[in-house]
Amino acid sequence: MKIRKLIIERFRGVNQFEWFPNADILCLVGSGDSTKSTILDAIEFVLSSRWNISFEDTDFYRADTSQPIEIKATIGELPEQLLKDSKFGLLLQGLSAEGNLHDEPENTDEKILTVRLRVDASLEPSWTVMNERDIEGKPISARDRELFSTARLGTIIDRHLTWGRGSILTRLTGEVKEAPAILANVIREVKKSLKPSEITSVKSAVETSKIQAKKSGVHVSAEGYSARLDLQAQHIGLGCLTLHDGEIPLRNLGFGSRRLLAIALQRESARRGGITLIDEVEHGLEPHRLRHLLSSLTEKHSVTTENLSDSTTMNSQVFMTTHSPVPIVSLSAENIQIIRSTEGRTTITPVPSDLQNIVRKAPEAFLAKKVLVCEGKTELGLCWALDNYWQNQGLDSFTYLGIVPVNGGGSDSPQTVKNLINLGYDVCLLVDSDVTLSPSEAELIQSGVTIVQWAGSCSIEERIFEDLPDEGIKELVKWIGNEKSIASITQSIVTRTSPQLTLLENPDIWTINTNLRQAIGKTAKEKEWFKRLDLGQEMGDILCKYLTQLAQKDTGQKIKQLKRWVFGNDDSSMST
Amino acid sequence: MTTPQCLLDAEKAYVVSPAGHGKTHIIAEAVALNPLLRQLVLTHTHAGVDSLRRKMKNQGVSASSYHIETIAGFALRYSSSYPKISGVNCLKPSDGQEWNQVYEGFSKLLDNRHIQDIIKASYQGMYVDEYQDCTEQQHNLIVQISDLIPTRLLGDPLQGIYDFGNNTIVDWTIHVEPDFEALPELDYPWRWDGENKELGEWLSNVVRPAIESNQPISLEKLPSTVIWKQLPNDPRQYEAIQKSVCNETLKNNGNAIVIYPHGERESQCVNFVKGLPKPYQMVETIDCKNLMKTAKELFETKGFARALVLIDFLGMCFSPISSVSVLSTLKRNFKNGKIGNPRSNVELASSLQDIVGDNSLKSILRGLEAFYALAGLKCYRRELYRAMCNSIQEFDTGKYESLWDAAWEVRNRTRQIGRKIPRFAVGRTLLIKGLEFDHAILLDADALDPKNLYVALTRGRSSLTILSRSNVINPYKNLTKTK
Repeated sequence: MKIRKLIIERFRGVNQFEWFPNADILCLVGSGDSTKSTILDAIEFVLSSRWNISFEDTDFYRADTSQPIEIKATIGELPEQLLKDSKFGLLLQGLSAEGNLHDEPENTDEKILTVRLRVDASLEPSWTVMNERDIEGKPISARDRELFSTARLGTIIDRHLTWGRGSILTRLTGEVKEAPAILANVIREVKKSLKPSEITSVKSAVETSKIQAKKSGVHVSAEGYSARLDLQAQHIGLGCLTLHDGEIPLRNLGFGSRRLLAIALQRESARRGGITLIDEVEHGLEPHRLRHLLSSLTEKHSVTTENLSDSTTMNSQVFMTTHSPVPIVSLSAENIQIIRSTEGRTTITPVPSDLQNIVRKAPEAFLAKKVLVCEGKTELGLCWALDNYWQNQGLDSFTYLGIVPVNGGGSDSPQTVKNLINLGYDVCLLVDSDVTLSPSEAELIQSGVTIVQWAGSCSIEERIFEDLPDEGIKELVKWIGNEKSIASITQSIVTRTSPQLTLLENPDIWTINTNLRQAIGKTAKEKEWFKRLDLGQEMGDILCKYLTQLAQKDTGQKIKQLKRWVFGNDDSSMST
Repeated sequence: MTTPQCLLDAEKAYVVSPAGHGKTHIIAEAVALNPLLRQLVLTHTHAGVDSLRRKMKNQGVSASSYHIETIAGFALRYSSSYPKISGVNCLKPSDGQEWNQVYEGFSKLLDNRHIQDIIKASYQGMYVDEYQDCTEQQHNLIVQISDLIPTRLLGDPLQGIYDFGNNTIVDWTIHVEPDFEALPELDYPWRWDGENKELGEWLSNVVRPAIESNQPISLEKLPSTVIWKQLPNDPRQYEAIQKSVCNETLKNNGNAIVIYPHGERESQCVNFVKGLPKPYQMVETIDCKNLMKTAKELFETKGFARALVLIDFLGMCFSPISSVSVLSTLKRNFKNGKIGNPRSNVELASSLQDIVGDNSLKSILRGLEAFYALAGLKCYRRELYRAMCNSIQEFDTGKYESLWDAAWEVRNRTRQIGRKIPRFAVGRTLLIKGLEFDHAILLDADALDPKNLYVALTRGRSSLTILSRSNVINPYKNLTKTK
């Protein structure tokens, strides 16, 4: 069972949403108001095996009940039972390999069915299987919907560790034959084992009742009144049967463990096909357990169990949400779906495979609202330094602002930026000006990227040493001299001066002129002085000390441009 | 002899099953053997569906283990569900040509992998009853399905009397025998087991071998439960004897079928039933031309013209004993543009006024009901009458473009779910084949061709009454006449 297409209309914060889920594991990533949970709710509801779900006016988009809520899930890899002509066999549609939907299935198509949940102003939900040939559709019962084996593993999972209706354990069990009869017997035994006479404290009240009954003409049998347990069979049903470890019910286990177990059980039951919905998959799990869980979820169909033949394929689909970078790192790009919502229109975009490097290196980027793509480690270090600097000035942190700086990977950066902007992120590119960009600068700007690029066709190192005041240059060189060796650094610089200068190994006494500035810049670039995150950040820290003096220089201008993107065009933050 | 287990185990086989030899019984038993294997049971007529369903019920077969439908209904249900692939746009086929399209469409559908999967998921095997009635086209569909699920055909070449216009009926030796394995013929006449064994034996040992070898049938040594009545030489004198036999039959316990010669026109049969005592009812053809024609006319007319159509329709349904005078008076009045005053019935008068005055079909329904109340049980075509009432009610749901469409739906439902044959009924062989009755009366055995004769002779369980001119029946002379 797999959802091939999902349409949500007028449900909660989603006025309109259309999605063709293209993988078996789908991790929805987006900011807090991106309607992730609404999508999980919609899937749960449309495929729910519950008899009834209570809806309220507020479940309608903008609480407007004049038009019905509609959730349509188009399902592939269908359970055979549903194909019967007495069920929904005559309502099949087809999906071609190219993703085209045919109302009648062609030979090469995959067969699919569309289930629709509709809720109108009466708030009564109705479930039907429909298509273009039969818009009204044919009702699908809760019992048939159970075949979708949909399990929601949200914050309440204890239900799934019981044998209650629709729980994962019930599904794993299949038919429960003898259990109800045994339970009924137990209830009878319990009833018998309680001797009414043992509870002495209620005796007088029972006696009074008897006397009053007789007085008021209510017939009392020869046995007389007594206090007994009233255990009606329907109160003690299969739902009371819960999984125990020794004497301890599993609901006493930690949340993470319960969830892991529930997910594992659902996975087992979903071998026959099923849809698993997991809210905030990281919830309650340490990173290593979370990683283990994710790898077990993505594990391919190689595993076979005793009761299932080798040919059984993993006929299930997992939808999850997360706020943690761990799942993003553990999954491949195709599993990550970026979700956004504006004005009731929710859109979802799969991460293109060429963003896999970002997925690995900076998973936080996908949790962000704004991404600052740095050309390399030097720029990334600088950004971290700037973040600290601005925080010390009382401005909001990047974290608070939802900004994540990432390493764009050198010459790939422009493409990374382009991909990210296509995913709907607000992106800024911080890049050297000594290479041409591909895609071009114009194209990037056109698509909404903010580009911060040093003037004068130069690298960040050359730019900095061009612009810093003398003291700044000396401080940087002294610091890098300590990191490496002041002798070799001086030597490297001297060979790059033209005409060649003579320098003592003490930057404090150097006379800074254009020739020297250019030589130092060149050396810093060629010898990769700052091409490490920590070194880049340290360089940034020193640069920030001189930031006020750089206001008229290109470095200062560009950092100001960057600041404007970070904080928005807000005067109060721009004043510093 | 073929056992239910043999039948269930067969993958692609046929069983020749003479009339009354427990064909439906063995199907029911085979289905009951494994209730988990859901079986598709196909037959041809509404009557066949009805009797199969009853048999299953009587045998206590779980309803979830089978699905009974006519081949036509099955093909239409699938084809109309996938109009694009099947190319079938006509949802209400009414003539042979439109049905041909349905079958052609279904054949295309059966080439579709998904449709094949639906059939395999829905049914783990198939029985086709009354196989002798298959047209070649239907046979080809069954062959297509037989590639998907185990298929067993049951039928009797001797009872192949279906008449489907220009379509050719399946030929057992050409179509069935080469592709399907032969299971042993059913050889015990169950229908006559118990008290009427000798009739069963006479049919198996005398009648069937005679017809199979084109020999005349002698009525000289008859079992005690078969009565032969000689008809006079002059056909004009038939009716008196025929009617008196029908009258006699009313005294019997159980139900009775009076078999009208198949070569005659429907109107003659109608006239004959009209003259019979109250309990006799006409068995209508499933396409029910009278209903469809009247529905069309009622819908297209209004005012006095519409009232006249209604009066003509009432004239079709009610025997003349008391109502004819009312009708002819009314008709005379209407033709003169007057409503008149049918003195005996206020309700009828007012509904007729409404029919003339307003355009609602509801007032026609009131008229129909008022007339029924007036004429009471003297309605001898209750099936036709009810179908009209139901059609108007169906039209009233607002789902139909015209009354004709509603009437079509009403008859289609009958086609699908079958109908109940009245206790005393008159019908032609075509409409009652596959059914069994306590008593069967052959009004004119000389007028039947061999297959129709065999069908007619095998309908009665307790008694059989044969009317013919001589005590030797020679049905072969009728062969050219009917083909």
